[in-house]
Amino acid sequence: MSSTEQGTSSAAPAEPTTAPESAAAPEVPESFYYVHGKDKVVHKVSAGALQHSALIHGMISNLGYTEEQAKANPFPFENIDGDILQMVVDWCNQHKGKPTPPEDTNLPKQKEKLFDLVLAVNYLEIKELLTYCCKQVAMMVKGKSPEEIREIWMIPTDAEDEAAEKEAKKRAGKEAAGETAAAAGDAK
Amino acid sequence: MVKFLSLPYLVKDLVFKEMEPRELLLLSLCSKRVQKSIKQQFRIEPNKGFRITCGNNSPESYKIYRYQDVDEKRLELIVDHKENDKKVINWKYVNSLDNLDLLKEFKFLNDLNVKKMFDIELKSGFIFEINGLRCRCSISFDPESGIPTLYFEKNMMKKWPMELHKYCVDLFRTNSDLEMIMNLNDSSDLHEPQTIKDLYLHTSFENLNPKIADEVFEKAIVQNSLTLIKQDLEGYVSDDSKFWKIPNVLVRSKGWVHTRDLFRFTGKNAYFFTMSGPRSITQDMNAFLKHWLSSDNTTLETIIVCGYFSSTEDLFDGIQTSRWDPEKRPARYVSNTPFKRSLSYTAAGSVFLPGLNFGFDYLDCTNAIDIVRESDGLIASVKRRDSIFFMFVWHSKLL
Repeated sequence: MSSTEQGTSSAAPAEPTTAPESAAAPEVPESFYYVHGKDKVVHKVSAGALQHSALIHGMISNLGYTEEQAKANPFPFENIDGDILQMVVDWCNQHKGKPTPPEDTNLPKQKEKLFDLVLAVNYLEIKELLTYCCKQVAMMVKGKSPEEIREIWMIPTDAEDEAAEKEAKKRAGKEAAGETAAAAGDAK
Repeated sequence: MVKFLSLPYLVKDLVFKEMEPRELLLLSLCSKRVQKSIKQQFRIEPNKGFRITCGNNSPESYKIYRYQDVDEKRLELIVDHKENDKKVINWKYVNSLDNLDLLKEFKFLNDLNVKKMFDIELKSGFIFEINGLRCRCSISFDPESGIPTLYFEKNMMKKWPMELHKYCVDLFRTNSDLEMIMNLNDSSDLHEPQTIKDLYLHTSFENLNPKIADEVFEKAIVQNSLTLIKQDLEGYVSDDSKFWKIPNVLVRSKGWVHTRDLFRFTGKNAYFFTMSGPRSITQDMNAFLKHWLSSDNTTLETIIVCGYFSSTEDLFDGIQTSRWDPEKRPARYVSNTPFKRSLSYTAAGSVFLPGLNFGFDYLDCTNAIDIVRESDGLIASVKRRDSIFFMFVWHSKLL
């Protein structure tokens, strides 16, 4: 298993500001967690960055892991491609503790990547990023004819839908017939 | 590979929210499944239905105010009758889709040197079906706003607009009220009797035969109001024209009605312009008042006749009158008149302006003369000011 250490730079303790020392709150060392996607590449992410994800935030909020325990137990997201998880982690790091801007221009423009990112972000429950992604998805079809939209968003025609439905019914019928035959065989 | 329709419900919901109605309409034409998805997930609230606007075909108007192409028609979603109304789609009818010169179509926009956000590119040969109507068209997008224009061959002329309206009401689950702005001399968009809530006629400097108006009101069943500022007729609408049945009528043009025929009006509120002579108008209005007094018309609320240059002395000839009695009715009439807007032409093009604006409080009835209908005790206040005749009927809800 390989490992990358994403977000470590943002984990550096902040320099004291102009506030008097006596009034400064005691610094709590930032905790880190580890996640990996389908490619098993582990990403180290600060708890602050992970706060964007309601799913992960909910998972870690009561764990109280030590650094070692966290490292030994990376969160597996087998349903997310490695490069997509990398994008998510990057975004979470870039926007850690910052107000989210109204637009995000760094999102992928290719539809395959964008759709995969949308699915990942929706699964991880990262609300702001999901909104940006959905805006980007909507942007893809601006000024496009229905035929172009169909192509961009891979929307089947009515005929294709009907054919797929027929095929699905046929398959379901065959499966049901197979199950009935198997049940009859068992009974014998 | 992920397909749009396979995206989770919430994601599709968010995407739809980021889209304009015009984009959703085009998306819906992709397939029945995507159409169903939009119907289930997308709704525009609030809305007041749709408006179909036809370009003004009066040469004098469109040469000066070339705000909308004369041949262009469009569907708009009425959100609040203000800037929030949304243009959904434009369409045009052409002789042939095969040799369409789009550069010519967009010449006006090119001349204006507008910021071009969308490419001028004709996308041709698109076939789709709405409400069982098979349509073949070409599509282009306005280079500035991205509003799509569909080009149809002329055989679609009579069928398309109302089918589109029906389709959009169903797709966006909006109010089914239809507002329409059209030219009196072009009712080609009205295929068969069509219910229109509010109808506005474009300003035109051409005098038309009143038969044209009669024919239009055979096809356009106006549910609420008809408003027109300038569209003179060479004569008067016929005695049995459906025009007389329109609930609220604002006609500021010559022709249309003769004062002797006003009793034919069976709606609620009317503003008419008349060119009748002073003597005739007094007699006619006197006859109108007598007709109302002897009728069982409980619908009429307000009638305003502009062009009443005569005195009121003979107006009440043979009619019992009285001055305002504060115990019998309020001083000021509360108008339910829907003429809040009329379509006017400004340097900026066609805009909605307040429908009635007299420069004085026309609803003040302190100095009006009252007449009472014996059969039901209904009071009407009648007055004249600045060559305008006013009659207000005090229904019980106003007392």
